[in-house]
Amino acid sequence: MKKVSKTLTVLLCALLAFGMSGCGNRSKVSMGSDNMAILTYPDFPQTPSDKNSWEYIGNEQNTIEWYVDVSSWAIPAENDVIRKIKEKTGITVKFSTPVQDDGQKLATLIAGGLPDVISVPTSNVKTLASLAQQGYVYDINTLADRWAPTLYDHLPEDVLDWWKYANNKTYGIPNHYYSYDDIPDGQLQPNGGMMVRKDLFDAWQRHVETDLKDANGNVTYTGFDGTQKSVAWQGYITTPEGFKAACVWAMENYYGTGNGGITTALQLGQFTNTGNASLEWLAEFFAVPFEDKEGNYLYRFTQEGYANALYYLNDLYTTKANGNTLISNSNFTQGYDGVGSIIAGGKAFATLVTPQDYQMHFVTAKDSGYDYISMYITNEAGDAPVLQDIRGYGYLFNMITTNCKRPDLVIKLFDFLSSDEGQLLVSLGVEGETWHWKDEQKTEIAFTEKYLEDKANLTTAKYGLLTVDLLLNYQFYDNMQPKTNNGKTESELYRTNLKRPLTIYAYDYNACSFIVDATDTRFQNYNNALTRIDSLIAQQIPKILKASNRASAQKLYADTVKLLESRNLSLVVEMQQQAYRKTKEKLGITVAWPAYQQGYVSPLDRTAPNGDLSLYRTY
Amino acid sequence: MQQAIQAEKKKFRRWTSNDWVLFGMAFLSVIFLAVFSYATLYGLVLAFKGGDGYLDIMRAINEAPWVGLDNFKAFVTDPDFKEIMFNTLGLNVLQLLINFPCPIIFAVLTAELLSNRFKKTVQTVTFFPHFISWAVFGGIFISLLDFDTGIFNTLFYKMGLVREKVDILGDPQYFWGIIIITSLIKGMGWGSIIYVAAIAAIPQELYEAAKIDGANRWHKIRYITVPSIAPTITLFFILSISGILNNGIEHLWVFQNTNNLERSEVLDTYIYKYGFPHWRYSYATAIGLMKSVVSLILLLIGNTTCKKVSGKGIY
Repeated sequence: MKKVSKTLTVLLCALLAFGMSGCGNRSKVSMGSDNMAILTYPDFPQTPSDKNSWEYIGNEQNTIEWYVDVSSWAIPAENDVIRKIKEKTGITVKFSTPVQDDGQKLATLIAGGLPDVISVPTSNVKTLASLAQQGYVYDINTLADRWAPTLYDHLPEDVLDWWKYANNKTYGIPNHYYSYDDIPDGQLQPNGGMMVRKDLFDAWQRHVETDLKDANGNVTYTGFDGTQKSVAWQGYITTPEGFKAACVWAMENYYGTGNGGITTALQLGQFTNTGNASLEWLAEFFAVPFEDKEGNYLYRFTQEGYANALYYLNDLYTTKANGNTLISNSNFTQGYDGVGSIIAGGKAFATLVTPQDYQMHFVTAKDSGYDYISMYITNEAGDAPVLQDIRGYGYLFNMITTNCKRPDLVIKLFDFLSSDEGQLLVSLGVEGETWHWKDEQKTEIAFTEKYLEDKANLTTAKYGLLTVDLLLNYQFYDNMQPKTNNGKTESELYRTNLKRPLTIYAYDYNACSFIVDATDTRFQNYNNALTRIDSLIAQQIPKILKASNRASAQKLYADTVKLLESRNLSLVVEMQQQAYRKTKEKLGITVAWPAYQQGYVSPLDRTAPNGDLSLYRTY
Repeated sequence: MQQAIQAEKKKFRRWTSNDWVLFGMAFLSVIFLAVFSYATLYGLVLAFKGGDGYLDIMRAINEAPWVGLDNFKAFVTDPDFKEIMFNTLGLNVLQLLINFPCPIIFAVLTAELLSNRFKKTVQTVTFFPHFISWAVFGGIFISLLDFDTGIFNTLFYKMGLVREKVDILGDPQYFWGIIIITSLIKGMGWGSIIYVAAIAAIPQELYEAAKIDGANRWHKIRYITVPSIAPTITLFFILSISGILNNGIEHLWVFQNTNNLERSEVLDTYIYKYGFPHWRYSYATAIGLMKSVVSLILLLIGNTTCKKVSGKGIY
């Protein structure tokens, strides 16, 4: 028996040792003086810059593996776009995605060996920075210098620059970016938006015009601060007091689970472990600045204006009409589908969500006869909303991993996809098959008859438009798409125009989309603190909103701010301020908050509560 | 002497093919345990290393610097530590008090059913929820408990049983109740199987003898059934005590939301949240290790107590 025990012990020790040796499957990475991993590159011949880099590939055929770390990203089936990419570059791409967005698959791939290319959401800044810093991905600059010099002609410089780390290198290329090169004159649509059910909105406006409007065409009301205020009758709903009155009126007159009834006055987005986007959108409507007048970055949650936004929502939650709160209790526990079903069923008087995230739900509501239209509200002081526009530096960040055997080819593929030819291919399909140039100068595009016919018959999947959107420059596509109504369905038009009237209140927030320096030795502590702070805020927001009265909400808010300070908020603010300053330097600006910029003129127009409806596109 | 030699010979007798088959089967389990339980133990070093922020867990194990007990200190001094421990222990103690005896009572009661058909129906109905995943089962409950459209709220409100609708899913004070009730519905039938089997193994002669002695049903349960299944109850009680820090993440995950975190955040959910998504392997490992050590201590205490009280233990 003793012998058996001894043998077993030896065996288990051997296994433990085997486990230990198995842990070292990756050689130790050397770090440079810039605190970034020192990378080694394969020794393929340099590619000249006299023609497009992918034209040097020749007849070589290769297969690469591309992992997209988003479960909802649809892996494209074989289609004409994919065939054309293969024809142009000789590369067959095998895509894969995770089952859930919990980071487990990416962690497993990192431990077991990453595929050739990975795409990670740009919001996952820490992972992006760590992948670069710890040597899992090649820097794009070196790859382009050696094997795709024409990439610099095809990729907007500002996009490449934006993602540069302190060592002046960029480790990936984003998609859905909005380069300053592509943005047309004028402003862009906002990212978030308030939408209101048009039939109820019209009914409320009729009620205001009939019952509340005075001889001067104004509505006089008592403000939350007890003072008497007056506003053009059309714009009463755009004041916080007027919006609340409209919510009460809507719940009193239209509450019900049956057809046409509403179950909530204001539908917020989903409350998650990282907060609620609706709060950000409301803070923007309330023009809560992210910068002081001296140009210093301000942490938003601790701003008075942000607190007021919270108290306003608390006020809506605690106000009852027809026995029901203006913000439904269900809203606080609803997931994405729950929020979507309220919108799709037209069950909310107004919504304050990210409209593009729920565009299909808005379309469903419209198809059911509940048309939602954009609207805005202001803070009590009557400042015009300062909304973040939709521009940004991407949705998915595409990186070539150091496991990739042929980075020389993959960077050429990136070059092709970033070029105008590649962009037209992935967004509009194969030239001559789905579209053709309308003029010899190649400035305008029209869809082919065959494509339009197939579109009418819903048989366009084979063409593969927008299926390989991993390096898609969305603004380029928006600029190039046919400028006619030909082929656009009513739903497409509706989606395009969903919040377009609010464009007049939207501004560039890029200074606020700073990237904190991953090479800073405090970066890990910063991240740990930020994680705890974000989760604390996410946990406290519902409590503040659901507090029984304003005094309780104020107490909860003050307690939360104190707790944040005990969770190293000072480090977070310090590093964010540093990143903010650097970002402004990169952008070449000293003042970033639009309302503080020279020449700013308030676009506020109370007589147009839905924004500028003339901005609707008809194509 | 001759006997001793024969006994020695018998001890070292040649293995038959049957022995080899048995050995092969047992060896597979040993390999399984060795690979998945012992070889992975090396990963525990992470708890004593500064591996947070490393993307590759293997590199974190090999390259991260030693930090001693820093990760443990970080957790113990975390502002949420008390709340998490309170929730973990509170919820589990409640489950131990309610969910542990329920399957036993249920098994004893079903054993008393006279109609075999009815007994089988009851067992099938109570076993069935076990085969539904928590995602689906929880989803059904969430729909039923929804503030606006859930049948419970609507029904109770319309019947006048409550003055106002109750935010069952969002109010932290109801979270433990939801967990207890749902785990009872889902697990009570399945959990009773082992006790039903133990009851079935009790010799019928004992009951017959008791009947002759004038014992009624209650006497039979008290003096025959319960004492007969006591070793099984002891075994599962000790195992339950050692698992007092395990909450079953998938169950809690379904019902957890940002509104009820102050009562729903337990060790398991906390480790999961801070492990993978934030690349805090060392921190999560330290909490996991701490949990295992506490579980081991509880197992020892539970076993010793049971031995002292009833004379029965698992070793």
